[in-house]
Amino acid sequence: MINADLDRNGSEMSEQSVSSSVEAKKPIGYIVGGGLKANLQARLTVPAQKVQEGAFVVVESGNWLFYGLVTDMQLGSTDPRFADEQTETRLPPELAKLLHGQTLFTNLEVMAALMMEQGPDMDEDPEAYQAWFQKVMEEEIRPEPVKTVPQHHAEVRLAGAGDIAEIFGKEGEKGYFRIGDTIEGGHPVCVDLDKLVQRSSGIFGATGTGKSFLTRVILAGLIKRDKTAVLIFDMHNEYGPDDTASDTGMRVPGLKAKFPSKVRMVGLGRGATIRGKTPDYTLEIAESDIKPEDVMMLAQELNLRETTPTTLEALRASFHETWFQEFKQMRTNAYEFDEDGKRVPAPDSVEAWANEAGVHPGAAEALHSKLRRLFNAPYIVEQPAANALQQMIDNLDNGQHVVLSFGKHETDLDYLFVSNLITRRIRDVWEYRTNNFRSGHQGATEPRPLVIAVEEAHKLLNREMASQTTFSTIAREMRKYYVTLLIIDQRPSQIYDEVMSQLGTRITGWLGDSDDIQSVLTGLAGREALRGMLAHLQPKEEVLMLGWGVPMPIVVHSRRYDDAFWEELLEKKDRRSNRDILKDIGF
Amino acid sequence: MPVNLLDIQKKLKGFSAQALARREEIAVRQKEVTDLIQGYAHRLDELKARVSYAADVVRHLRCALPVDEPLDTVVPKPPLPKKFTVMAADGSQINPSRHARVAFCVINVGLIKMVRGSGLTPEIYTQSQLLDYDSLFTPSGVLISEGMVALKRDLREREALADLAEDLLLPAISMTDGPLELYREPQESREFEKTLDQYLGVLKRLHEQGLMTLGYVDKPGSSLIGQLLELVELSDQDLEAYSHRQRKFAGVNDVRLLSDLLVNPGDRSAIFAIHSETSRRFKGDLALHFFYLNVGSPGKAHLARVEIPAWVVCDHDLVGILQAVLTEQTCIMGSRPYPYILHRAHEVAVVTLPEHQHVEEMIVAEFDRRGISVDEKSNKQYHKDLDTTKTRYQG
Amino acid sequence: MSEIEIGRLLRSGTTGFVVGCKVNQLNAPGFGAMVRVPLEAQYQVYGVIYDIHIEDDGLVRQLITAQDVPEEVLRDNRENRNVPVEIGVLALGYEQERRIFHLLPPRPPLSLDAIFLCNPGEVAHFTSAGRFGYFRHMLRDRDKPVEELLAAHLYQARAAQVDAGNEDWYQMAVGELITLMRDDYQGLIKTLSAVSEI
Repeated sequence: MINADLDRNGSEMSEQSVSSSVEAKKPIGYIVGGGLKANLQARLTVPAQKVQEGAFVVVESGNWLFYGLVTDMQLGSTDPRFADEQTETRLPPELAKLLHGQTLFTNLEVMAALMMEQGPDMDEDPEAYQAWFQKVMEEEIRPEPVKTVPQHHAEVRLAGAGDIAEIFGKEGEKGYFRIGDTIEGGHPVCVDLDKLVQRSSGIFGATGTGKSFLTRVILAGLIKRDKTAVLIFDMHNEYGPDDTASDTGMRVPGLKAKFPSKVRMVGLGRGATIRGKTPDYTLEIAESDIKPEDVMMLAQELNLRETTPTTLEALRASFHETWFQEFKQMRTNAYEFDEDGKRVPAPDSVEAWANEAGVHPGAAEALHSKLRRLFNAPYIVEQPAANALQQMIDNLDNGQHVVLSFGKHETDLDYLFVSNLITRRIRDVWEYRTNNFRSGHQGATEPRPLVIAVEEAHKLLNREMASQTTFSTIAREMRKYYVTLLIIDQRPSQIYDEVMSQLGTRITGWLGDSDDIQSVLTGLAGREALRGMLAHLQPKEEVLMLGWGVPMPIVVHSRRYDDAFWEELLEKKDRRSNRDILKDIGF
Repeated sequence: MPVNLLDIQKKLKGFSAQALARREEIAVRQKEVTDLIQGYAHRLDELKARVSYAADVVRHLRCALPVDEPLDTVVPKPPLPKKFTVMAADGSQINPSRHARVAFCVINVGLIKMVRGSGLTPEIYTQSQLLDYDSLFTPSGVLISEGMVALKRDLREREALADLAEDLLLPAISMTDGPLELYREPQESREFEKTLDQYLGVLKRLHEQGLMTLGYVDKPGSSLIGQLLELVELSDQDLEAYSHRQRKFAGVNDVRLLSDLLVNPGDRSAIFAIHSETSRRFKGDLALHFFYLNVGSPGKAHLARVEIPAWVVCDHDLVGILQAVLTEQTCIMGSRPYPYILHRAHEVAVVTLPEHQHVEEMIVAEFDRRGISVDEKSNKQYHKDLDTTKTRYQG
Repeated sequence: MSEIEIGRLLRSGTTGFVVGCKVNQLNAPGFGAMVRVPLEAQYQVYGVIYDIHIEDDGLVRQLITAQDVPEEVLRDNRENRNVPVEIGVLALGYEQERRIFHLLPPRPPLSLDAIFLCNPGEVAHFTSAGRFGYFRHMLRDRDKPVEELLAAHLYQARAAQVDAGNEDWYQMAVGELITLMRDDYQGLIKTLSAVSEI
């Protein structure tokens, strides 16, 4: 294991991690059966309590290393009578222990995920080792999906720090960002942030499982990485400003405080304050920016009728871009008497327009009434003081990140309306730029990749909404237009499964609901095995990483979002590459 | 079928009727003799005189001769000495046979010496003697008889005891199986005379060494006492016509006569001298005497005859020791009383068939080496030696 | 270390042999004890005593019926009489040119070969060679009191191994037994019950 070797020689390696990597080399069992379709079966040779479900194990078989996860543990006996009889009452403890050691056993079910060619022995054949090592360095030899099985009796051991680094990358290198540590051994597990953002990804977990802390950690990582612009729809004002943890009452630093120059905090509506603080600027939505589709998307929220699309279409036909403004200004139940003394709708009334546009007046009036919540929204103005939307785009372009805090506008309507509208606008911009860039327009630069983080994603991505919102388009397009989503939700089952299946990386905390568990695992291999692991996660502490963005599923003890985290993230000097370290130690 | 059981069955009824009739007759005679014992119990001098008279008249007279104890004497078992030596010798032999490939004779004597009260393991010895080739033939050139070999064997037994009798812890008792008296055919032969002289010499040596010697006769059939009383019942004329073939008290043996007297285990009868032609040769201290001893268990008398020399008889203490020791020895064998030490001597001495064959092969081999021709075994012997065990197809 | 001769060979076969000895020699060997038969230079057969029996005969049966048997008679019977103790020995392996094999000996011992009791050093030497291959021979014949034999053997061999400084031997030996017998539940439990009494 080159990384383990590196660790042993690396300057920053602590005593503790050296001993734990030696510990990890000790076999915990050996392969007794299994196959490619079924999981591998390993006989455990250490007390069962030393291994837990989800443990990351390495199987050494000849020249190959197989990496896998413990997905189940079963008690077995060579003869059922050994299990049935309480022999410890008949035999002295020493004998009983020996007997049980051989007749009673625990089998591990190991879901093999990856395999990798192991180098020749460095001492026996230094040349071959060197050649192999070169290939590893050049990434010609990489962990690859399992296509064969290890031999019978191949040794199984817990993965060491080196193994983990081999698979999940070494912290500090490239985009590798430590998301937590392995359950056994506490070895750092990284996620490749660059890969994470290449497709939309999700963070799931029931309420109170530390989902938002984990999100903060990842967002902080992305901001620190600084290769991607991040736009956060901060519905509950959690991410931008400092917060107080609901359970511990501790102060939780926000992103704005830690990245003051990189993070722009945007409030919704003029004069908005976010937890008593003035945002960098405020966002108002121009009435002219609102399109009938934006309203249609609120159909459920506003309980719109089936006639609404027709009405909206008529409005647009009548007033074009100013339809919202015009419609807003129409009066309802306004009548006047004409020359004949006949009671007719007032000319500035909805009914008058309806009659004129050939729309059912009742439908138009109903829509007007239902849109009143929008008409009354203070952040929708005829003429915004500044083009805040453009400013957000500029910010995102310029290597800054935007947290849009909804402040007091915390209703679903606000959230749905604003986030969708802005996302649509921004995506349009990114699409335009991408097309320009791709078609080689002069002066067109590559758009900066953008990640849009959405909370309560199921509100935007449920089955009914999914077809209409921009979000589902983004999820489907993957990275075509340099925009991906980071969706955060506690009810993944509510999210349209087509969207779920598009998610590259999934990081999930404990989920209680079996539908939610099922949903998180949509489109993944080995669902049955992973289902158990997911159900048995330790709430608040453990998360399961899986999906396209990680080499293999793994349970990690998630990184704590605390002062130490920030210290490490912000203070740490740049870490050196493998190559540099190897050079130092004489290779 | 080798035995026609039907033939036998037919005769069984008559056979048992005869046995019953005979038993009844004997019982009547036995009653007569028992009465005579009572009658003559203390008339020892009359009896001695009568024997003395009869000896001149009757050829080959053989009977008991009272010494000084009344006929109906019963002496209970005296206590056993704390420590004493008891020895036994027994012999067995390979008789020369004209059917064998080569004539040879081996006398094998087993000896055992036990010091009772010592807690020590008894010593055992075996003495095997291949007789000189010359001694295998009579002056007339034929092979010596089995009787002659037996005689030599008896001599060897006593010699072996005498050889072992150095530094004995006294009292010491030695015993052999059978009478002390030698009673062999052909009595007239010169060889017998020679052997008898040697034998008497050995008995003398034993006496000098203080080693009591006795002959133990198990299940004796003799009727020495009955014959004594027969003499007083017969008139002088009848006595002259007295012959062994027509006996007045035929079938009445001493054991039956004394069984009712010697009731308790360890009881002995009166001591008698033996009057016979051969016994005359045992003179003075070696004069032959005997008594009967109940070696059985309570309620189940078992009488043995014990022959001892006169020098032992003279010392009542020695007789007592001998009586006690013999009783103990027979007791050791439990339900089938017989002197333990005698049995052991026999066990040591016995020549098994394989041993017999082995010795023969040794001799034949030596003959071959020296170019001495060896005969075939006789056809009769050959067929006798055929393996008669059956074999079975083992599949 | 003085050699303790326990008797001489009566009859033998590939898998074992029977040793005869006098009753007074009997205090030396015990059930489960290991013995060796030096056959020629650099070759000796090892075995374990699985059966000791004392034959009777007519005389002994007769003596039983007596009330008292004097000490001298007792000794005569035990020491003089040709009634040997028969000691059944199971062949466990052999030593050839100082190497221990846990295989059946290529040549069995011959009549009247002298049999010696193994001293603790020899027991330790034999039992720690290889990986308990000789257990095969002990387990082969289920008609023998295998459980008792194993327990007696383990008891004696453990002491020898502890003397030799191999504290782990016993655990490994029991472990090996369990491996060999775990398909035979009854047999294994019986064996362990027996072993638990040592």
